[in-house]
Amino acid sequence: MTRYILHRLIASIPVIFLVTLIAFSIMQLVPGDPAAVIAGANATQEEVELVRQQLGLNEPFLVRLMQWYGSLLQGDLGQSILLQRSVTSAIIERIPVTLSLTAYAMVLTVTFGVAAGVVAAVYRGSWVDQACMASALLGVSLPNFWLALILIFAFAVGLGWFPTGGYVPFSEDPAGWLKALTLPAFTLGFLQMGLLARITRSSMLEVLNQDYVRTARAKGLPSWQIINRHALRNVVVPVVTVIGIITSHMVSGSVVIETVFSLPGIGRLVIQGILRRDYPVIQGGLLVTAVAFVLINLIVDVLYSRLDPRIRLAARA
Amino acid sequence: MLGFTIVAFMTLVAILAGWLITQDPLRIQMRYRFQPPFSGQFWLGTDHLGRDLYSRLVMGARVSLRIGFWVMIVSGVLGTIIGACAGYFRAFDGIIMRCMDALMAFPSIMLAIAIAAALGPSDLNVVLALSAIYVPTTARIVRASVLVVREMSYVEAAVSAGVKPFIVLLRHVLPNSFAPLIVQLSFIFAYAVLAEAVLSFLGVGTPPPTPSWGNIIADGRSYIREAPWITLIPGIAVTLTVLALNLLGDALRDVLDPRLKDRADA
Repeated sequence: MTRYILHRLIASIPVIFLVTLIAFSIMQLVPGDPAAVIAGANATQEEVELVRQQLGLNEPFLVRLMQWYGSLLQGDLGQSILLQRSVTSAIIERIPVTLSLTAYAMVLTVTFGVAAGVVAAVYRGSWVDQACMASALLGVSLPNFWLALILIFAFAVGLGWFPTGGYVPFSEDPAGWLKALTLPAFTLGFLQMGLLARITRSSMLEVLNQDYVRTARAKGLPSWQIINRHALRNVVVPVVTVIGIITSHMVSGSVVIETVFSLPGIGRLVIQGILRRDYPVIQGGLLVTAVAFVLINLIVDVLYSRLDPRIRLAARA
Repeated sequence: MLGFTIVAFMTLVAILAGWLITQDPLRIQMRYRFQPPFSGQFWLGTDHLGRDLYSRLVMGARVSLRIGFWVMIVSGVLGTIIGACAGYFRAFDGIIMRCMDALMAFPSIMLAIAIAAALGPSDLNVVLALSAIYVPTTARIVRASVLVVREMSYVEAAVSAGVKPFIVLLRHVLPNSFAPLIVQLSFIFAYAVLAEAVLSFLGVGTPPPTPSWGNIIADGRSYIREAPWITLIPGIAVTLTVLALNLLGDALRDVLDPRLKDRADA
């Protein structure tokens, strides 16, 4: 097991190196003088020069890259131009928000998605089955920011059940935290529920056709016990894989959802950085989320191989 | 069939947009602001500047679909070139695919926003930013099918007959590797229409005053209490179009790759 994890970690090093390179180089895409763009249209020559000095833009690209790597190794992502503070601490401060949002959304997705998938498989062709199909299709077709606006309009502005946006830390007010995150988490989760339900349904159907299920039925086990004891366990492997994909979708979706609901998470930090051309924030934020992405995939693969020994053996062979 | 009908309808609307509009979509008439739908000359009402929403929606279809179309073409062509090289000339495989993995490691929408913002707001830059995030997907798909096709005996026959590698790739390998790519491209069209809406909504996509579905929704957002239709209607247009493109993709997959259908139905 340790060997497998180590092997996977080493394999992700080149990818992470390229990720850092891309995150840093995006700044080079800016046409013209980046310092002038950052300083703004009304900036004087001195102000532009100051920005250039601050960002070290006088140095050649390779020198800047090396300096960036140097401080990166010490965990320093640089100073934000607009926040006037270190990017590392700004990001660390925002991790709990993004983590709460995606975790909450994940709980909703897994609870409703797996339950709906099982029901859809057991009662094929029922309304639950058809609803799963429809919501899977809607999940890939609805614009997430639009769904968010509609939900805000209906449940926050109209019915007044939830706040229209903003965040309350869990440590201050757990009920307020739950209220503030329910709409964003539901938006984020709803779009993925259908996908999870579809996968659960199809792997459940496959399992229900297996011989051991027939044996269990033949020896007179009640249906719920067959599903619980024999079927669900074997559905776990494909479901975990999809949960990995869903996590990536959620991290990506949270960028937009945090912006619409004014949640002070990492996604919103990066979007604000991008819109205001705060380069250290863009580079740091992109890097941190991409590394998180690579790690999530790694964790999923490891989980996957723990759950299904056949994969571990194949990797060793 | 439903998917195809809606896509065909939207495409027609986009092409004929110039003739279908009833008013200049950019014309500001402050005394007619916030007219609700079905009010006299404004079929779908007006926005906060009194611009005709129906005409803006129709012109927006042109912008959104044009961008989606070009993203599909650019990511299809680049993905084919990159994927074919990686799959056929094995020496490049490692480095090319690691680069694609790295691009895929970013949350796609975040990367697109960063590229679009860095390049500056214009339709072309939106196409470039969105293509950058979909190229890895198309490249992977082409590579995977090239890897299968290059082991076929007719390829071996061509190679042993002395045909140059590049010609083998172009004439024998690629044409037989296209089916999964075509299916994927219709999904990319769908994703790109969605992603364009997100970029325009956040202000890094189609620059106003040119209407795109995303920036109409962004305009409507501040007035959702007094004029919800400005937000609602373009969102429905995006959803319907993307839904139809997804259905079309599913239908194409059933025709071109029947094995997957069996699996989805199981």
